[in-house]
Amino acid sequence: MKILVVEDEPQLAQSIQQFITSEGHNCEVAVDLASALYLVDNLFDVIILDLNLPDGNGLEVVKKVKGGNMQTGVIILSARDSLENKIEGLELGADDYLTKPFQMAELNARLKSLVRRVHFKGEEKIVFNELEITPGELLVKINNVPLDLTKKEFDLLVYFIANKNRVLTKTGIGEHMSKDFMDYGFTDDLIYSHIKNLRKKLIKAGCDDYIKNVYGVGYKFTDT
Amino acid sequence: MKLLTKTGLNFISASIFFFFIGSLGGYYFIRYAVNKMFNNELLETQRHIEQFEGEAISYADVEIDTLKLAIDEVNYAFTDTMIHNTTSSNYEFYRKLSYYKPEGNKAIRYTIIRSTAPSDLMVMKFTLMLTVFPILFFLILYLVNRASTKYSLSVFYDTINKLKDFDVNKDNRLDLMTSDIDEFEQLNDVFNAMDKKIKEDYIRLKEYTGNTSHELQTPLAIINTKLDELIQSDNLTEEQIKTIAVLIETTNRLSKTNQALIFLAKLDNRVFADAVNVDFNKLINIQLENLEPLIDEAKLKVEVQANAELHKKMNVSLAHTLIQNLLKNAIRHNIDNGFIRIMIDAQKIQISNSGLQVNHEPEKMFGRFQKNSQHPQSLGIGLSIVKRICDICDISISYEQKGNEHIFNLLF
Repeated sequence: MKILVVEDEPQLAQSIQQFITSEGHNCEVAVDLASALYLVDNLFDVIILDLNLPDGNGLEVVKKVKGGNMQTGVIILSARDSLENKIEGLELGADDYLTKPFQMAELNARLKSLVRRVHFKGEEKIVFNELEITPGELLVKINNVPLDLTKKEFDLLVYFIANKNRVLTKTGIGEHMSKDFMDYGFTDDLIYSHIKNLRKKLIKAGCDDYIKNVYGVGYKFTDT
Repeated sequence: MKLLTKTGLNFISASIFFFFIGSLGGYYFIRYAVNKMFNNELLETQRHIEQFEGEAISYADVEIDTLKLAIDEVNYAFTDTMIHNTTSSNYEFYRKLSYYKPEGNKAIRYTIIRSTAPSDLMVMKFTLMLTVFPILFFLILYLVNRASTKYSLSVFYDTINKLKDFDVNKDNRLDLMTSDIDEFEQLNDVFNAMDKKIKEDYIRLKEYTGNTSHELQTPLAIINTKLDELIQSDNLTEEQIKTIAVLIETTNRLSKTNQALIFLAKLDNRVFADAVNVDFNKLINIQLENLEPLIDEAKLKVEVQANAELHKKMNVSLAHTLIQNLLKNAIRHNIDNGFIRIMIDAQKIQISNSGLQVNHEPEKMFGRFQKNSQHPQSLGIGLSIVKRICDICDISISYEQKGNEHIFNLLF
């Protein structure tokens, strides 16, 4: 996949680039609006876009991409988190909106979900050993037997698989789970009990225990 | 004490004091004048006696004694005296002149007395007049003074009432009344200027807080991603991972606090203006469902008693935040096997929970960064957000503690 990162903060741009490259994608970086608008013509699959650019508003890029009928997904990554900003961005056609500061795992999960939506219309199946997930239908099968999960547990499982083999901190998981509401602190216990329930259900259904504790700091979804 | 009462009391006590002095002075002055009159009368009598010496004396109240007393010169003495009246067995007051006249080696004493009864009545009447009229006079003066002061102070009271309602968060101006009294006019000018200045400063401070918080977001994002990169490395020891996890946790706390402050700033800036009809019965159930794992974990018993449907026009995400924060508070400050009771009436939601008895002041509960030492994880900002949301949405919230039960009341 070809991904463009538009971010004027070099350290952040570098981290995102490094991460995307490590996931096996092709990544380019634009540090200002002018070069972003120029690069957009190269038909990227996804653009990760900062709004506050030194020479203008990143929404110009959204206008150009969505106006030009390109098959390009756009994830806005901004320090502005007011509802108006979000609505404005999404109305222009952006596919997702992530507020800084963000967790890399969260960006990864959103990226994968976006790719599924854009390229597979949500029908793609995620397969991991005996697990088979159809995100569009909220369906989980273990060895072809459907498993009943709550929406939160399902969401958690998709998040884990999107970030397989990565250390996920409790902090990052909490942030992912509470994204629907304003949520301040106090999520550690909630995460713990959700994960405990998910684990129980998976193991009971005959699935291997892929969710590993990492020294009490977080979890890792891995089969190694 | 009210200014009016205070000045009134001062006026009255000063009046009473001077009135007493005045009446006393008046009384003594009249007494003096009357005595002088009697003295003159007595002297007149004495002249008569001397003129008609040896003749019959028509005054019944004159005594002439001859004393074996050698004196050189004439002696006068005026005194007041009381004489027992045998017929009415009353004591009567008299003015007495004792007059000694030397005659050879003897002295003649003239004692002339005169009843003061009629004049006593006069003195009494005068005194009464001196008492009653000033009292009436002072009373009228006091009432007039009070009314006039009250009228002049109305501007002042208006100012006080408007200052009482002063809220730095409200957009409206103070708009104090104008007055024809220079001092109050000056005072109101000062307050109007102060109101403007405070609000300007407050807006600037809010902007500053907002900008600072926003500027912090990008550096926090960098720290976050770099720490995440670091923790993914394969060759880390357990100790190193734990250290990085602490850093991630701390950074997260920092960004949560920052987000909460931005959220509060947004509340202050009335960002959440779009209101829809929120069904609180439904909303509470959604939130309870969300928090279910946590409630189960703490082994809490939740009772929801819905006596009516509660709807309110307000911002949906604020409503969620409000209820979620209250419920989380009720879960966090609960005890094992405790309870949470939720009662929904047409105009009221009551959330009560079991907990430990604590000695905190109810007013302080809603302050920012008010933390319970047992829960170092909490930011101490949740209830302050609750309070702000209530303020903005015209919901009145109160807290009380009944034994081991903590009760939050929301009045819609």
